[in-house]
Amino acid sequence: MNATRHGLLLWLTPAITATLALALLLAAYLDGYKFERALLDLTQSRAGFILRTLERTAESNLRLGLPLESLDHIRGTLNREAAADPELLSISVYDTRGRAVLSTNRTHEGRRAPERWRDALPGGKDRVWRREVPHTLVLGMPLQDALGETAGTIVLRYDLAHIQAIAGTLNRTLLVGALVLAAVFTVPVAVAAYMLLRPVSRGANAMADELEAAASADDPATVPPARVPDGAPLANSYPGFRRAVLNALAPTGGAGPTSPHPRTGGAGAP
Amino acid sequence: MTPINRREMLAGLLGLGGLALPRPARAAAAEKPWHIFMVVWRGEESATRGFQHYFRRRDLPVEFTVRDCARDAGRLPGFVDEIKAARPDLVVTWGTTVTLNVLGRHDAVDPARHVTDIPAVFMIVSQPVGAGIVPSFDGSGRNVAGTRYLVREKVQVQAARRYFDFNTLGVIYNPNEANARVSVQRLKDLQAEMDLTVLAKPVPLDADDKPRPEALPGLVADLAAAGADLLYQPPDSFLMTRKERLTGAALEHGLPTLAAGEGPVRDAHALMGVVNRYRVVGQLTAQKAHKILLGEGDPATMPIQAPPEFAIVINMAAARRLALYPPMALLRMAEVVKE
Amino acid sequence: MTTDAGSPEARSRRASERIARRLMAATLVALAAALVLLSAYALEHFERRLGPQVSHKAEAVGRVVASDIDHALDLGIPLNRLRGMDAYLENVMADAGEVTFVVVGDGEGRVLYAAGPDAAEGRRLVERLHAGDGRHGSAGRLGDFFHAAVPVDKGTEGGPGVHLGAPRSLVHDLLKDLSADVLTVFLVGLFAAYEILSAVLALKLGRPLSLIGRAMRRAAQSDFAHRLPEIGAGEVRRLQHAVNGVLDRVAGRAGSPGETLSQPSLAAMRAPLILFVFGEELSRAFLPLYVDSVYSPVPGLSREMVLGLPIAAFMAAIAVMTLFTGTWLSRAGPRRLFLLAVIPGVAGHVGTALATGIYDLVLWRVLAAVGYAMATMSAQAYILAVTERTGTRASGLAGFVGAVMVAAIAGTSIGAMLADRIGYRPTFVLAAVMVALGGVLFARLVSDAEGRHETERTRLTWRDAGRVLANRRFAGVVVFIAMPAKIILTGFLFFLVPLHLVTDLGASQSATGRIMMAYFVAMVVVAPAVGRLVDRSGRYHLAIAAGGLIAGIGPLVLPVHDTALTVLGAVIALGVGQALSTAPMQALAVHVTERADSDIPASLTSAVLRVMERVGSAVGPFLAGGLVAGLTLPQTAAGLGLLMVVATLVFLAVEGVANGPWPRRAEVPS
Repeated sequence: MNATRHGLLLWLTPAITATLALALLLAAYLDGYKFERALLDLTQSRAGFILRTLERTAESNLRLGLPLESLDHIRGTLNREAAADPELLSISVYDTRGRAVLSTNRTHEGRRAPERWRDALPGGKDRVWRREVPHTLVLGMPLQDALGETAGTIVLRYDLAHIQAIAGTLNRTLLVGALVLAAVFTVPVAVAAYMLLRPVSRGANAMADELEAAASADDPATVPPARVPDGAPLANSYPGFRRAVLNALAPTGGAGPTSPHPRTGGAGAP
Repeated sequence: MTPINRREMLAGLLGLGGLALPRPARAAAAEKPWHIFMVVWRGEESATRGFQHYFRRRDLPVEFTVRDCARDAGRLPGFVDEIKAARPDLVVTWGTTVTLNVLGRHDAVDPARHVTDIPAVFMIVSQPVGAGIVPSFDGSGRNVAGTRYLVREKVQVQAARRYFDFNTLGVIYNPNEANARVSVQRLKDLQAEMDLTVLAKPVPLDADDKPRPEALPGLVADLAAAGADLLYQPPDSFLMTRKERLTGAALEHGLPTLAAGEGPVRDAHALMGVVNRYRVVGQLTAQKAHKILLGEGDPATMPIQAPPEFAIVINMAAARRLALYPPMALLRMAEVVKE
Repeated sequence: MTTDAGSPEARSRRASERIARRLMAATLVALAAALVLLSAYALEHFERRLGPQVSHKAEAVGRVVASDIDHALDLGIPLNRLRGMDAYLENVMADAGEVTFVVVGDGEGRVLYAAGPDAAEGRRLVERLHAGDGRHGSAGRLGDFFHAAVPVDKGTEGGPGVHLGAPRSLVHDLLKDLSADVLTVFLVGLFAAYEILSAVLALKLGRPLSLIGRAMRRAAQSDFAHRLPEIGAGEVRRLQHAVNGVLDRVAGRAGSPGETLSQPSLAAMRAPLILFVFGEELSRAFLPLYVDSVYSPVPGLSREMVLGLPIAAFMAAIAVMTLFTGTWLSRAGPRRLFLLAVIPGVAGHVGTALATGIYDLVLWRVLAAVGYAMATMSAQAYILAVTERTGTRASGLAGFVGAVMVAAIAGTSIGAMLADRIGYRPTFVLAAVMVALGGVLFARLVSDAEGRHETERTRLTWRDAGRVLANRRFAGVVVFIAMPAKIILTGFLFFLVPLHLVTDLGASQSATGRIMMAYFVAMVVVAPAVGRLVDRSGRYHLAIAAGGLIAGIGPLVLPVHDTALTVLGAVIALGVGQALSTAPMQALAVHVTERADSDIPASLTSAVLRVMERVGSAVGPFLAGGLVAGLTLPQTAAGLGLLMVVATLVFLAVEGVANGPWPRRAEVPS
């Protein structure tokens, strides 16, 4: 497409694409965000369900009046649960001093809870608390003994890297999709723009053709008149202008210096 | 260091809250530990161990002296003298007989025979009010605190109804035992409230006023014929020693037994028991003792409480014989005795 | 040169506007279609990726049920004689969230137990599953459900098992939740399309054509002593070049090349202004909540007053700036002042983003206010300068208000959505970027020559202000209408609404943004229509009174019925009310001062009115914060509403007493 003859379209098309892309990218971004939240909610509700189930199991043992250490015999249950859920990193039971007495990850046993969420351990009365540390969701729930006192906390560590990866992929997919849609839907709008601009373009080009010829012709009066479509902008002003210019350039007044403009390709300043 | 200073230190540590439970580490406590004198009826069992465990788990500096009278009340006056000489910080009594002999009835305390000037806690007393140890469950009014271990009859009936529905409850009891009589009376008091019919059968007595064990199967048969839906075995030491015969007879008549203790479920044919664990009772008693030692509670006004949660024990062999399987919800929380 | 609507220049402007409108329609149709396709695309991906996660959750529930059943089987209870399964399963389902059925099958096509809201459907599906290929135990889809199966009795696939289902419609629900967001995006896309297309067309088509027309008409009258700036695009630029070519040739004979024609364009400054205001409005829906997050006690002020402090300081700074910008404008000119405004603007937003406590936050907000005041006032001055020559002042100022409103609508809603997603502080950084972008665009689009006309600015002095305010009727308008209107705007809408919606009603930040946006939408939609109606009927008092009462009544409902929907209603009522009363109130203010003292120019009256309004804006959040100390948020809102209603009634009484029956038409200078 000739940049000079259809320059308006070349200005408008990127503007249209930009508008579409802006709105679609924003929508894709919001979609992706919503998805990530939904995924996180789902993971949390799964982790919360498992946590509450295990808490019941552990507490029914504690209510026999046995110490926290006696939970060792539910280790099998914990291991089975941890093995059944691929994103469940570990299940641990912490005593009131923040030391792990039992964990499906044996290396945790006897160690203090990590600094990042140790302060959450005391918890409120039978309330699930949650912390997000990088790539990990930590959920905990206090365990009550037979006297209703907090005897410790059961803590689930959940891997978020996986769902973050899922969300990341989806985000990218949606953003690329949005860009593709913006590009595709630019086409019909650009066609519409072309149609809308056609009278303007044709009128302007016709006038420019004649004027350029007139500027360089030896006898401007011989230049064929431009066919300016009716209704094109300037269609009313042009005939008067043309007449006045041709009069001014009429050879009667003696030949002036002619500008050496070529007939076509009139781009660039004189 | 004086006891008062130690108390302040403990209180301060308690106040730290957070993760650190009060931890007056033994090493730091070069001071004199608390001295707790325990008098028990039949050796160191779960309640005694639960009591001691409470202090050990918290690393509290306590020295225990345990005296076992081995079911012989005659030894108790000697222990009282020993307590008076040793002057411990706290006395613990196990069971009705021990408690009555060491601490006396609330309305008949004799400073010569009973310990009066040292705070005491009792546990595993079936009927603290009925036995006259305290005037009411709201408090002893004297230097004595304590706990209950029997689950209230109403709670037992409610729990049993989670297993299966029933309206007519048969109960056999030894008319000579106060505990049993009180329990039966309480059940009868519940009849209207709980839409319950109680058929109570006292065990007939022989010429010496002793209950006749051979009458038990007949009584069970009578109850079954009278339309009882289940048999209730009250806290009753006569029945406890005949639990095999009693619950076995019930099973033969297709009558499930609800027992007030664990024994008939674990060692005989009772279907279920709604009980408090002795271990938990011991811990609850220790909690009260701890408060008294810290000066945070006045034994005279401490309510006589049972543990907040009871336990359900189910005998699976009996359930199979009766073809009365426990519902899933109950299975989830109950302890099941398999064979 | 003045032009009327039928002039050739107006015609070429309208031609470019017509193209812009049609193009916008085409763009919006395309955008709507693309958004629908994007949603469908998102839905498919949501389902594909969320499905396995839902099944994992269902499996977790299934493992619990299976393990409890296994426990019972271990005790010798036959699978088909489990007791209390209904109650047990319902109990499990109560905690199972997304999972809506659990079915226990015996592995031979019989369903033994089922529970959950979709139990019947689950039973049917599981029976069919057996009847079909007998396959059993794999996670996936079953009918309209995400499905998971867990074997019991140490069984394997095909044996007895627990089946669970979660409706696949839960993915649709997600998208339904998103529809409000997508609609907002569409609305913002509408404004963006309009602004971008009109700016491009005005600058590249409309203005150049109108210049060419002017050149042609002058030439037609044998005036060849002028040239065109070559500022159009493509064919228009070519035509400009060609016109200049022939004019050169003519001039070769006739003499000097003469002047270069110029025509400043409002379109050029619209986009930069929108970006600048947009930046400020991004935080509209969460500023009090952001303040809450950096809260530290200030001696002598309640917590709520401190929360209102930054908004109040912002408004106060603007009020004070009104007194200075006049001087600055005449010294620097609108273009330089707008560009200078970028410095405090950017600094203010970046500082707000990094704020550590209430004191520095207030400082940064004041800086942002200084930038905002400089930018908006120089934009206004620019518009006045440009429209003075074309005689289109009224439409120029309307365009200015329109731009501010568009920026407020888009800024409030998008800022809130962004805050939900990226957090408060990054959103402020984005605000700084917008302001900077506005500056860059302004520098590119608005040439130094344009708008550089000596503007006659009324400089406000205390004496002038005193002279105006001494007029009792004017004072009445200010005290009972103008100031309460601003108090309720900043105190209720800007301060209480975001706090209440988010902290008390648990609304999301996005929802809050949309609700607050409704005020500006109501203003934009109602104001022009009502303006025409009021102009025609001339019932200014009626419009002011109705507006005041409508605006005040909305918040009065909140203590009685307090939901997000009622808040929305109150916000819309406020918008409608103020759309009704603002313009008539300004007209009345000018009218009453001129009647009393014809020496006072309308511009002075307007300036005093504006300053007093801004004082009201500054008081609003503070007053609300003070009231909250003893009341709930809805009660405080009602208090502000009551203030508005009472003030309006007092105004009516005073005006009625002073002037007898309401004049049918206030004689308002145009």
